[in-house]
Amino acid sequence: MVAQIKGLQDVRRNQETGEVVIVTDDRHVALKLQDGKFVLRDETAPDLGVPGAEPIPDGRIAA
Amino acid sequence: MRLQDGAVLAHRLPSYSVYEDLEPRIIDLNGEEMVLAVRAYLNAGAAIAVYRVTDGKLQPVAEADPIGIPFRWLNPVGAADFDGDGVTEVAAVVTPHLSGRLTLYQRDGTKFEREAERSGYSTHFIGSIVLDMSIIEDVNGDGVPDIILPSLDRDRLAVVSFAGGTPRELGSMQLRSTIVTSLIAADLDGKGALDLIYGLRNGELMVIRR
Repeated sequence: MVAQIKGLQDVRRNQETGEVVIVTDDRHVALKLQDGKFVLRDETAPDLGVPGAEPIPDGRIAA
Repeated sequence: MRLQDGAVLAHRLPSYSVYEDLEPRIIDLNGEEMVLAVRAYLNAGAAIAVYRVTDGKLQPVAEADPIGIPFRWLNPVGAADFDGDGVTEVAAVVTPHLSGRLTLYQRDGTKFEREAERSGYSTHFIGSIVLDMSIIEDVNGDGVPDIILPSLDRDRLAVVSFAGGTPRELGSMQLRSTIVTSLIAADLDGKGALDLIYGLRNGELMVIRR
């Protein structure tokens, strides 16, 4: 599966929750797969100390 | 190093060497939890160094010889019994910006000795703070952990096995662009299998479902 992520910098694992987090140049969001599509969730996005980072609203991008 | 009880432990190096690393790694070395870090000597380059917590102190356990040339660096992969001999080895990519030697070190007392190596891999590029471009996983199911990591030019993902003490590439996959992110294995869809996740320079987030 492929998704184009604007400003993609890294993917990391939250060591406390085990969730995968996408880090871009200005934000970070938790990533899951659901029904064959990427699901980006904001409510569990951890503070990874990225300057200016903020969660984005729930949203989906095409798989 | 901050312990779960809140205690903070520190180990200070003499002035002729520094830690050239972003964070220490907790490893299991033959059943004992230890701390793996990169120590760089000003006149001889980097070496792997391992510590343990003993009597409330962070104590040196063993160290490899440094690379031998100033400003030459290495990036640890992790620890496992990579050759299947029953003893844990530490793996690292030595000079990932040059020849990229994936090297196994085995502890012998207070020393880590080089046991095997294979050139042509890289887990870091200059200017990046990403250090986790590798995964330890038994890919071929032979009971011996393998290493998934990028090729030297980072446009290919390879699986390297040291089973039996002989390094060999089990297979590789061409990438659509060079990898720039950590390489993560995680169960993204909750189906029990670990998916492979990484990002490319062209902005593509890749998930290989398994």
